[in-house]
Amino acid sequence: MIREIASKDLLTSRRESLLIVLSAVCVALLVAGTFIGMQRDAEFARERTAAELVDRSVWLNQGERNPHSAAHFSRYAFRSSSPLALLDPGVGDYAGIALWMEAHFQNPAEFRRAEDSGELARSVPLSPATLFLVALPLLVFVAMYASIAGEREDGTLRQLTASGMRGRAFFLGKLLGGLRLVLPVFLVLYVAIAAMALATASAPIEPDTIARAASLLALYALYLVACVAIALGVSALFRTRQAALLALICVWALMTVLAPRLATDLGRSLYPSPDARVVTAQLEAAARAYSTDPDGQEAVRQSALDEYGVSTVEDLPIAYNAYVLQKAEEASFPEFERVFGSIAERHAEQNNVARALTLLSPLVPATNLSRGFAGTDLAHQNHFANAAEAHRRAMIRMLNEDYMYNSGAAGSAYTAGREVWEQFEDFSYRPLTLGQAWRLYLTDAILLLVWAVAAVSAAYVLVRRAIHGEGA
Amino acid sequence: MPDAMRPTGAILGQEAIVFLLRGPAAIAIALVLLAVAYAGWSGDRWRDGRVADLEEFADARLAAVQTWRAELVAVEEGSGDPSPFVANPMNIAFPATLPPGALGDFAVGHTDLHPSSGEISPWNNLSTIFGRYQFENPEMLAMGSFDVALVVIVVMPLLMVAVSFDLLSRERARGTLALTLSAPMALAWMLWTRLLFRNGVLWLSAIAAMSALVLLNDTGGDRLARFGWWLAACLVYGGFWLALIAFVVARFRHATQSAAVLAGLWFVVVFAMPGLVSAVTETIYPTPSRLALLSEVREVEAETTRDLASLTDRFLTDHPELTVGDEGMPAFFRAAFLANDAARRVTAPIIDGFEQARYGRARALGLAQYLSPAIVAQRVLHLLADADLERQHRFQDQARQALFELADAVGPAIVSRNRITVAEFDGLSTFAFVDRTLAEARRVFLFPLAFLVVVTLLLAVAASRRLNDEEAWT
Repeated sequence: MIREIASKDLLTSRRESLLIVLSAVCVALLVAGTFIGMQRDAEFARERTAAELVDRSVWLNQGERNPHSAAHFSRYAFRSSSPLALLDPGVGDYAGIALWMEAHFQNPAEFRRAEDSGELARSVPLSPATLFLVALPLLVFVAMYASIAGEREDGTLRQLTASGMRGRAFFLGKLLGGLRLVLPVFLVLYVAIAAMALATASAPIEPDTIARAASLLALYALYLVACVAIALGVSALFRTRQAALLALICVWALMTVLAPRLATDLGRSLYPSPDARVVTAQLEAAARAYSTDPDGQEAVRQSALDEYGVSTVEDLPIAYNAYVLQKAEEASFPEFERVFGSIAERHAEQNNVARALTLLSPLVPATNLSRGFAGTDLAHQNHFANAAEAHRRAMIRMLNEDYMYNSGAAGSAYTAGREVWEQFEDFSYRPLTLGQAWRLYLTDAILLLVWAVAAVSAAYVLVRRAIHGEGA
Repeated sequence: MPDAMRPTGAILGQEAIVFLLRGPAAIAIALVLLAVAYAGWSGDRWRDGRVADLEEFADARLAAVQTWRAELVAVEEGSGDPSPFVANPMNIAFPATLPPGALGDFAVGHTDLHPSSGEISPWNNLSTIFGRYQFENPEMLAMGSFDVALVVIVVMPLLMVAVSFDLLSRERARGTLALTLSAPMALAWMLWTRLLFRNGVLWLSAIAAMSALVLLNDTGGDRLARFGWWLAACLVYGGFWLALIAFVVARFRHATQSAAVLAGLWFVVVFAMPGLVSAVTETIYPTPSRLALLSEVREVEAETTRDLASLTDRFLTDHPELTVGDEGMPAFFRAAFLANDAARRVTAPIIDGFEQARYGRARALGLAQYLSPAIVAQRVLHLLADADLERQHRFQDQARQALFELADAVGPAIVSRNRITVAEFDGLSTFAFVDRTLAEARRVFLFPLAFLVVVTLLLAVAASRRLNDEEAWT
């Protein structure tokens, strides 16, 4: 019985000409989005590789120079793309791709690719994730609006009830019909695009990349199950196809277009981002933490004297200037952490407002999870920035120590050369592991699961109520 | 008396009252009012925050410039500190700001992504002029804002579809369509009346809410004139959807079919087409790499540090009128200036590449916009709210130009280790953004709007013809 109901629904949906047209439009968009995404990823990889080569070459060939002067010139850390960015580019284009690791200063990542985008780029990102999470639910709703409402309108539900059909079987048949309509198509498309993403990825494939792709697959599938159940439940709420379709279109618009935008906008309105000039001033103050703290300066002088067991700075066996430079760096660390910590906290507050509005849409947790698994979310960006900062601190320390221990009588006229510059390793970055990503997004995973379970349960109750209503 | 027997005008009047008091219309009106009110509140907060930040920045920078000038006056009068660090021309820094437009609370557009302030200083080059500004939450930037333009472009058409797709369902459901057709009033007249009434109520609600925003958040300038054009654009866009709905309702016999087709068209017009057009134009006209720009600047900086002496000599040879001033002036002033000067020269081809890509995209989009009325509407509304991309680029170009002019004016003094005079300083011009006027904006959007009007009329005529074709309905 369940299989017959599912097959009949599947057959009916496949005859819907509008559904075929909309499906064709979505597949065309998916193909276009995938190929354009591949081209963009390849281009980005070329640009980054070229920039890394130039950065290394400029660093090595900077000539004889005081190490502290080299620390001011320093190097850049470049963010690589995620192997799964083709599936979900996430916030990649809206976050900086290069970070200057200069002395005395912790910089934000700069050069956001979105700034080079065109006039319409922010309307809709043409990515597989957008199509799976936004367009596919529309197709599901258009395919399933008549699932129960149509049976009621045509009187067939009454006939089925009279023939002794069990509510549970009817519900499962309808649910299965919906899932059989959407999941196989999704599965084929997903596997094809994921395979292309992995085959053409410019970024290194990490050991957990396949597991990430599998997590994405499970996420999208769960989201689509929720959408099928929503369609079934709403269809069961109404007695006519017309009312069911209108309601589902409104639900779709609210769920995928309005609620996510409203949620993020509300987050930004309630918790405005700090002004860039104010943050820059705070960072500049942080960089001057040592020079504006006479007590700290005295403490540093005393600690140097104690460390080397001498009574005057002139007796120190090291370059005191370089010692101070390093201590000044270290004095700024907690200040930088405070400034960037407050920015991260503000971003988290904004995102939490959006997460709080999950009640309006399963798309909010699904989007968070999708970006997290694809490695294109804010957490991965912050992880990159933190790794670059750790590299900066290590690099500046090495330069200061070279100056401190090797300058000898030359003092501030001391210069180092290529043999010193070659000692510095290039910045290399390992992204968050999948386990870490799961831990970050556990709340979203639970919220999405709750959405799916609630949608299926509600659909079951509504379908049974519709059957009982017809039976009475 | 059955409906079919009553005068049709009375039926429509009764329907109008029922429509207003219950059903999706009341919900739709409430949604319009809520959406516009929220978007207005959010946009107002955004604009006010931006204005306050920019004013604070400009005031602080101008105060610093005045302090610098006072030091220069003192040095010139012989009463100031003669240290090379005092009143050094490298330390001149004029603020450059891009204030929100007069209707800036109606659309955020591209204003949250691009820099809105910069420092015109010889210390800066093309890649540092706008400072560190990338602190905005990327999640927020990726999603975009819920502004009034979004309500007009995305929400209003959907609500129009929701209240209009079943225009003839009542007659069809009761089997009185044939009877209605035999009445003196033509079907087309009835449909248009219902359509205009239902959507008129929606749009009047939206216009009332937007007018309230304009008056409550009035910031002066040409706000009212821009709002007038904003309303005109809204009505043209709304008119297009009205005609499209009429056409679809006339074309399909069942309300369910009409709703499904209209939902599909909405998806294609509002989302699919803009997304596709954007992706294609960016693929055809790619911009040069910003990382390549960065690499060029870095290479030049390294070379300048290595070859400072020869570069200085070359500069002085090119300017034989200069005499070398204070030998105690630290070399890093010259090095930084010469590096920025060289960066300007070597990055010129890359900047040209950006210009060409922008020009190509703008031209392609100028043609491709006719594929979707939503693109036309977005461009017009963003233009009127000064939230368009072109204005951001215009600001960046003018700021760079000001930077070059300042470098040309004070560069010789910096390299020759001299100060400029107070008279020379007073001859320098501070940055003032030359904005696009409403008349200039109008020239950009009038033709696309006229095109939309023509499409609307064609659709309306086609819908009316179909509705007047009785055979198609019987």
